[in-house]
Amino acid sequence: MPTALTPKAWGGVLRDHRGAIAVVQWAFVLLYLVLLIVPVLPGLAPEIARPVGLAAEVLFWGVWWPGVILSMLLFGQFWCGLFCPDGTLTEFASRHGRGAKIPAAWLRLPALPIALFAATSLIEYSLGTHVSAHGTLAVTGSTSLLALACGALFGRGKRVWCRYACPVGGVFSLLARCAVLHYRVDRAAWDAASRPAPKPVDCPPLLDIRRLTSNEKCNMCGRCSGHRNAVELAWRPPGEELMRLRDDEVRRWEAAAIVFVLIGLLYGCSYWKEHGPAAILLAALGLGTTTALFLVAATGDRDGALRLAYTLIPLGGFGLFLGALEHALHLLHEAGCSITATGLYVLRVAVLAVGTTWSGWAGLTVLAQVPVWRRVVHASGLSCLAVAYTLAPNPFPA
Amino acid sequence: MALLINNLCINCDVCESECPNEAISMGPEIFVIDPARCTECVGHYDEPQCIVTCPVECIIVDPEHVEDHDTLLAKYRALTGRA
Repeated sequence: MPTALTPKAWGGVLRDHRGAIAVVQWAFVLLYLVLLIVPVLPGLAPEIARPVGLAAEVLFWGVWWPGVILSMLLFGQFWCGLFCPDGTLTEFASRHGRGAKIPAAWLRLPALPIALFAATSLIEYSLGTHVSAHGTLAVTGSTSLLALACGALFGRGKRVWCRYACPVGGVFSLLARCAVLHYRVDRAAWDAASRPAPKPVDCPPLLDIRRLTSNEKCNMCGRCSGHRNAVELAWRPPGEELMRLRDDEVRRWEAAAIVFVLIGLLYGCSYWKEHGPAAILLAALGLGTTTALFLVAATGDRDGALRLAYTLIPLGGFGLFLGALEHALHLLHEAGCSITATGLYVLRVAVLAVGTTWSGWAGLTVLAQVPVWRRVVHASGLSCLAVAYTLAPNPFPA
Repeated sequence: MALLINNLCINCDVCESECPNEAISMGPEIFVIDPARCTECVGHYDEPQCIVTCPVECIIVDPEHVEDHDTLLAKYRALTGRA
């Protein structure tokens, strides 16, 4: 065990205790399968099926979803590397599967995960699948089957699914850019280490650890900790990665995903789902387009707007967290424990204040060289976004 | 034909130790293959070990160094001193 609670020491613990982590991972797989399957077992007595179904909904959507969103924003994708049942299943399948190489073209489409996430969210919220046991089984269970199939086909003990296709991983990967923990690579130490390496670096999502500068897709599993004496889990300032993106790290599709999916679509899904898919899409397009216009107004050019879009991840992430939290409150409301309208708005303001301040700070750092009036436009745009979340329809009937 | 590592390489270290000719080394950004030492494993194995072990599709035939089987075999003999 570590003598001090330093991130570096914990990285070493994660690397050295693979057996204990595997036990936890398989326990999560078991719990996940019970919660997914038991509520829909045919012939099961209602007095068993109903409480298990309710427990599943509370744990999936009331506890796990808001909790995991917050953990991604603050600490990175530890959920993926240490607990995710789909990750465990796909890696297990990959150890015993065909071991085919990853197809160069179709599976490597960079926007595939976020596109799948957008499609899944639209279906989920339009049909309300996350509030029914059968719906949860259909959507979440299908994703798990695809993860299993992907593992059975591709990679040799790797997490090809998590790297290239996992829909929710597409969003987690965005949120984790904000996190205060990351694996820091000392490139000089890596290159100076004796060669060939005693053993290859073990990275389940097949990241280029030598050139790793981002939390993007990093499952934080710790297996690369200490490799070549060059890799360690370390603190960094919150949102640092968003403020220091290299030109080649700013991608058009990703900026569009932040504006139209993380912010637009998920706002629509959280607050306009009662009115059907058209209303969700209209809200997504409306908020997304308005956000895109304010980004252009604040920077004056397209490249600047793309870069500035990344600084909206904290606000979008906390907006997503708020939507998840309100769903948890909705479950409490149905159990007879309601929050007042005033309480709801106080909660919204408190959560959004964190996201807005974080995004504002990151945005102003990026906009350090632009005229003051553009920074005022930026601050106004952010405020309008926060107001849009705050004044979103109240999900609790009076 | 010698082989070439393209920019899909993830620097995973797997190929370097597998090469029987010590033709693979760490380059400035990704691993590189020395065409003067690459025999595509002719003389050692039935197929190139770097391609077999690479987890991603990043090793291809180098179009700038096209060699037939006999040439690769001659290179193997020159490198190893075996007949």
